[in-house]
Amino acid sequence: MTTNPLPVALFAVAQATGFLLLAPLLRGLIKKMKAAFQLRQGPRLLQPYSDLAKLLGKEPVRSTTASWVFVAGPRVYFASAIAATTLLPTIFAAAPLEAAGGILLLVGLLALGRFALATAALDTGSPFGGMGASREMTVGALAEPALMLALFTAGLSAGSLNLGELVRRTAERGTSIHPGEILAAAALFIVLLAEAGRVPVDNPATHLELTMIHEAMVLEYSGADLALVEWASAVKELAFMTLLAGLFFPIGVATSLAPEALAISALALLAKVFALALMVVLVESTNAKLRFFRVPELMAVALGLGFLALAMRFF
Amino acid sequence: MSQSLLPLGLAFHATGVALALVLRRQPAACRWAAFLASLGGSLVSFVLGASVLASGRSVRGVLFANPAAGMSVGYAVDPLSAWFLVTFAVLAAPVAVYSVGYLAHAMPPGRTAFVGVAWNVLLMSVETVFAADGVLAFLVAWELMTLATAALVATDHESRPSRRSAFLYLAMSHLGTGCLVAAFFLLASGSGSLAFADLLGGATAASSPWRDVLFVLFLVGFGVKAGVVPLHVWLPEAHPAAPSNVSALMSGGLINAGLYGLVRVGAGGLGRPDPGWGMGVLLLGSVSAILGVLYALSENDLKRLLAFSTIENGGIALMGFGAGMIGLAAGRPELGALGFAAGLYHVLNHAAFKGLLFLGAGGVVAATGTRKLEELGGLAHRMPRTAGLFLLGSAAIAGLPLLNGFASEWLVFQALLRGFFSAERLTRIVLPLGGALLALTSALAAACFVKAFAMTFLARPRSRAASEATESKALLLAPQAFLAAACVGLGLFPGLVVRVLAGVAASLPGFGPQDAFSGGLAGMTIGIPAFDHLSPLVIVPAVLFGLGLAAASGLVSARARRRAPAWGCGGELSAETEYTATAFAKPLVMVFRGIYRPTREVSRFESVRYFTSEVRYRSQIDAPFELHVYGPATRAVLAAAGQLRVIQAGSLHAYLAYVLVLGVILLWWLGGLP
Repeated sequence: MTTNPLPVALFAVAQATGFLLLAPLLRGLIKKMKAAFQLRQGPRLLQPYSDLAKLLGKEPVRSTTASWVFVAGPRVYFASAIAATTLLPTIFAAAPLEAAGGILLLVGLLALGRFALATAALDTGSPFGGMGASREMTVGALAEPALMLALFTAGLSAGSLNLGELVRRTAERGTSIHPGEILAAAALFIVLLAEAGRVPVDNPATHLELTMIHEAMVLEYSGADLALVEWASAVKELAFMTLLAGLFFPIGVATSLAPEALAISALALLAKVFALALMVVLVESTNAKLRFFRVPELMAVALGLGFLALAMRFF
Repeated sequence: MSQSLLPLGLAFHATGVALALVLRRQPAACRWAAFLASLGGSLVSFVLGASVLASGRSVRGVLFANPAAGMSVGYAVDPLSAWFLVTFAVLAAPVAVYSVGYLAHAMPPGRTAFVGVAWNVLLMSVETVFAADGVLAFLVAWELMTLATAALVATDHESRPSRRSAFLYLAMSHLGTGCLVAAFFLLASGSGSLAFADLLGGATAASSPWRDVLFVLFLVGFGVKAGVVPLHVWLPEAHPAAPSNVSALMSGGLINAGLYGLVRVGAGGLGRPDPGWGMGVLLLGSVSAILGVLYALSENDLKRLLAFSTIENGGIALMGFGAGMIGLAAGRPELGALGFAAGLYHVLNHAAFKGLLFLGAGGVVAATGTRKLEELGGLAHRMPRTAGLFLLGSAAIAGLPLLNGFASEWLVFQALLRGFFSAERLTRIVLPLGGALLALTSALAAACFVKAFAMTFLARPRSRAASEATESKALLLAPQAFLAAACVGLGLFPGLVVRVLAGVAASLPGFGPQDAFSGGLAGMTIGIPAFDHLSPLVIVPAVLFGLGLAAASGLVSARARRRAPAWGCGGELSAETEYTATAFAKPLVMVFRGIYRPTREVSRFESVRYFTSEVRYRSQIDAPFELHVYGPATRAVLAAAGQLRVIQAGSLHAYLAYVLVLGVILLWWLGGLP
């Protein structure tokens, strides 16, 4: 809320760094839990960090057909994910750059990343890139209205579309949850599965080209380019979970800078993200990936939930 | 001084016409003379518009007067007219410069004078349409605009499709103008005057069913020009058929004439609008936006794709206007102002990015000789500057942040969501649903322009022409760079635009100074206490920080960069194995097949049993309105005309008898009046 640029900048850098540092852990955690469900040992919890370090050190091999767009894609995707994190309130009920904009800017930045990566994927001349890009844009387009309706429900009931303001007002209101908001949260959870490329929409573990969406799109990336894509995807997933937790379960969010309040808030956020990760794991472990042309039905369910949420909240 | 600006601008265009005719034998001199005159006229009208917007005071004057006949034709540039004049000039000026270079190598020299004359007449008439203060000047300019456009669409008149497009455009425009004439006469019979200021007094006096009739007539009349579905059928034919410089002007500038009329009528022009009108406009806007973008997405002709996306963007502006009318109808002018401001902002932005995209497409078509996406590709290597500018335009039209499309769509979202707090139950749910449809439109537009850009500029060239293309000349690139800069500037400083728009909205009848939104250098804010705000400049450092981090990751990683052919699963990748434009759009076509109703035909040929030697595949998406609405209507009209043939006997005596009968009826009727 402060207008002095230096603390704002420090807050923004700290938050972006926090997301960058913690996002691979979320990936590792989900993999570990999934393995536990399948009675496997699974990779180490910190394996994603090692993967990123390894990839960053490798030389990128790029297609001879590719142009500057192919190189720019992952960088814009990464930058848009970083910028998106600075719009989110995390442990303190304010976002570092909430002076820039709210929900709509956040969604816009994620769309910018998707646009950049999908465009770049078509640059190699490999049909897999095109297939992935085409599917990614399809899923993205179908998820967008559901995402918006869910976010509108939260925004309109708090009377603000600015995330910082929204979380503050929701926190003031206390712990009472309207049933409409539960539906909105459910819609947003389905969108989260789609945006993060999780089963039943996509399967992050498969390398069977014909069934994958996001992985097909980034198939031609290697080395540092691939590291940027993977890292940004992880940041995006964590950002989505933080958003879901902040909008609909604002329990324990610190409204003052008192250390104990911040500590409680941090623990609460970790618990919420862990719970969401567990839900993702449950969905991933108990569902098969949907056939691609069944995905629109799932998105229609999300859209219907969003619509019902709005109707229930305001009638 | 400002009183002489409009006549001065028109004089520039008239000079352009004269010079083009005089210099018709020297194409090079003719090009420069005609289009520099046009540029001068646009700059003058920009200055006029900007001065009115800055001062907030209307400029009035007389265009020409004939004291003997007691007739004078005047003009009045109020802030709304000024907004449209500025929008038009921002597009027309760079396109004029582009035309000089474009005509040089994309047009037979013999046609230069023709295009120069028609172009200047067109600009003159559009500027008069925006400035006219009476029915007479407005309708004359409106028709002149239609005729000049039709002439330009038929520039390539040897080709039958071009002629047909021009004819379709004329036919649809007649329908529209007919409705306008009827509406104006209805109004004039109420008020007894042809000046706009008096006419509108007649409307407020009219009883409610007549006001509804008037509104529908105006909606159809202006809707044809604005490309509103289902009156849009001419647009995807006429816009691509014209030379690319004209396409840019038509898509970015001419549909604004229709939108201008709708704002005049909807924003208090006919008195306080009915809530149903606002709902109707919102519905038409949503349908136009969704159908426009869906058809754009499935289109494989670059210029037709851009034309369909024009329908989409007109629809987005209409959604803003519809929200504004709902606010006005509910007696909340501050919400109305927000809706109209959002639509007007989008109109300006659309002029910038659609102009940019059409000019880029023109460069591509001139360099390769094809508009088919399936024959393009790989041009990012051959035409890197055009590619960069086209990518920026694509991102802007897809509504991505930091560019102008995002800023105006953001404002339309606000208009839709703010209406929520005021109105009754129906609007409370309809407005957020409109928001969801806008979100879908915007996401589909992103998919559509990933396709348009990537299929044109990325991967391998799919034809020989594409592999031999060369970069456009500086004279073609500079105007695109100007429009691209406009896209960036309008996106980074939305607050300044909104501040001007607040003045425009306050000048409309029924509005006054409002506090629903405000803007400044830092950004724009909606509502008190703040409902939402947007300051793109604040997020720029975060994006730069992210880009910096990405660049820094290159420092820690290995220095080597290797180029290798992409893995083709054992085969070799070539232009044939690339993902095609049809394939890219296929999933969305399948998802929305209820709307597209695609027809598919697959035939297999087996030389030996069970071994298919050849597969032929044909897929087609029919235009539903042409097929199911206009087709039957045309056939009905032709059948009726066939029936009427009976009385058209070709005999002089019969015709004389008709005249006699008509004369008697008229005498009887007139004599019967008191």
